[in-house]
Amino acid sequence: MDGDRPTPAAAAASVRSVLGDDDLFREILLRLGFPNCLVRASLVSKRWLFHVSDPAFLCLFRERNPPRLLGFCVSNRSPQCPWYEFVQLPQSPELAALVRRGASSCNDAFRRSCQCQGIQHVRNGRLIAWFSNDGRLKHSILAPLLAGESEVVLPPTPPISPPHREEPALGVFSRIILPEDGSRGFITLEVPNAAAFLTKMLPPVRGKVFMVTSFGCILGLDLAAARFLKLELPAQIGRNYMLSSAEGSGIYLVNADGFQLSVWLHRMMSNSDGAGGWLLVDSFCVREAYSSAGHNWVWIPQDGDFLGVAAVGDNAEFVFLDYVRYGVVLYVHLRSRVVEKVYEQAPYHHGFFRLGLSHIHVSPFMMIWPPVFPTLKRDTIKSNDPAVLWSLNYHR
Amino acid sequence: MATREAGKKMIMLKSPDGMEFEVEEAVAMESQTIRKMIEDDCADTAILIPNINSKILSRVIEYCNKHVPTTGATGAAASDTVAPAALAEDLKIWDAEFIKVNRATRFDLIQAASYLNIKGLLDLTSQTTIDTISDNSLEEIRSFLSTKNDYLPEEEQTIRRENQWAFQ
Repeated sequence: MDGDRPTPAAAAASVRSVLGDDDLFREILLRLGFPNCLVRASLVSKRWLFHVSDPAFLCLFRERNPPRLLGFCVSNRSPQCPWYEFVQLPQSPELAALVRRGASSCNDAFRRSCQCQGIQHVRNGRLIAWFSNDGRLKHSILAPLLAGESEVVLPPTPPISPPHREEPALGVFSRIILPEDGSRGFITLEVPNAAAFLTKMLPPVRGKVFMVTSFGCILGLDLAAARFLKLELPAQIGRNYMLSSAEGSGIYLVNADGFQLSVWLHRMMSNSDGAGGWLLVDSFCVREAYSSAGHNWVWIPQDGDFLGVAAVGDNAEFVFLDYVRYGVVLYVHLRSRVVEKVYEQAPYHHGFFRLGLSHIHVSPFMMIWPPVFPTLKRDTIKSNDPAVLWSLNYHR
Repeated sequence: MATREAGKKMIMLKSPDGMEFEVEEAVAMESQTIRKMIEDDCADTAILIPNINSKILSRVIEYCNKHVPTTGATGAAASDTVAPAALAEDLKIWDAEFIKVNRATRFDLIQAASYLNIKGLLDLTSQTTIDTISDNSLEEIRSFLSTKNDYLPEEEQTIRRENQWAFQ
């Protein structure tokens, strides 16, 4: 400690001059690091709320502290007993308790309804899972980070008319989306190829949803114009790829060819179909990165091994790879080049890992962002009067 | 400009209470604010640092001295013999010792770090405040930071309800 102790008044004056300086105060708040700390800070006083709820501040905060990956839902998809599991990833102390309760609440829901057939969207701390219930499919929204939040069963999707007799080549595809992604909550598509298989749909990017298909291109749908667009894949990309959105301004594509990952970016202009083309933004070898980090491979990576791209995080921050030969899921953080084994499938009782054709489904589960703050009206009595009256409004 | 010690450029920093500190240019340039002044050629004579008294300024210089990248004749020798990880560990221990100061000094240091634009020092000095906000109850935060609660109970409840996940 310093030798000369300042008076409490001097200390209070020092605190005031730091916290009273709006720019400096925000600099400190930016360092809070986690959205839950930010929410707690907003409750200190209305002036604090005024700063942390400012959209410009939130934007900067997110840039400095991107939402963390809390864990992932994973399926062990054998045809006899489909089951899902929430796997936690190690967290800093600020988030540890939150993730623990999220994982246990999620796993309770999966156990309760042992017939979880799949997970469609996982966004912002919520997920849409579909369960089979007496032979009927039921879609539910789960919010595992909220205590006591019961699952919300969604209204059934509109009945899908049988394939057109006169146009037997037409297929129908229906997906439920989160309410924030579209007013009606579901999208039904008539796909120009009955055999087409749509594996993954992104949340809308500039009013368009993009889907990974089995027919060698990406299918886009302009929601306002109800019009399809076809996005060709970059040259020499096979079917082993996944998409993710790029801050609402485009889409990323991550492809794996053996151990070699390549990351492509396709920017979207607001008024075009994204004719700008694909740009290769990153490429890297998973095998080299994993070996050089000194990991002890208990399995031997061999040339010709197949790594399935199971999921890609927003902004291609990370990738989950399905290492089919060993029934293992690898997590790759692209910027830091970290490769980790995060999941290993239990071997079946007969000793084999699993059937060659089944894939592990991985749905990354991210921290909630942004917090929901009321808008603040600042009614200043005099322009620079410290006594400020605030009024809170929630706009819904 | 004064030069000394095997051609190292020296800079004079003046606090408003009249004290003068002669420091190596490289040390002073840990501050982005001073760096800009030097690069813009506004620092021919002594630089007056307003609002930062000599006691705080001397602590800031102490910090910059410790954190200046070890390059040049003596520095190269040091980094040859000490592994970067050990060096970083040493700095961390030094920082922890450095920040054991009373509350008034810490907030004065925050202000100085902000004005002089020394990112590492701002990170270090604001960490305790961050920890206070992260680890304590609202009442404790308010009393530690001399802030008054101006929420109506129902207003506070609304924010809690809307962001229930943050209070798990």
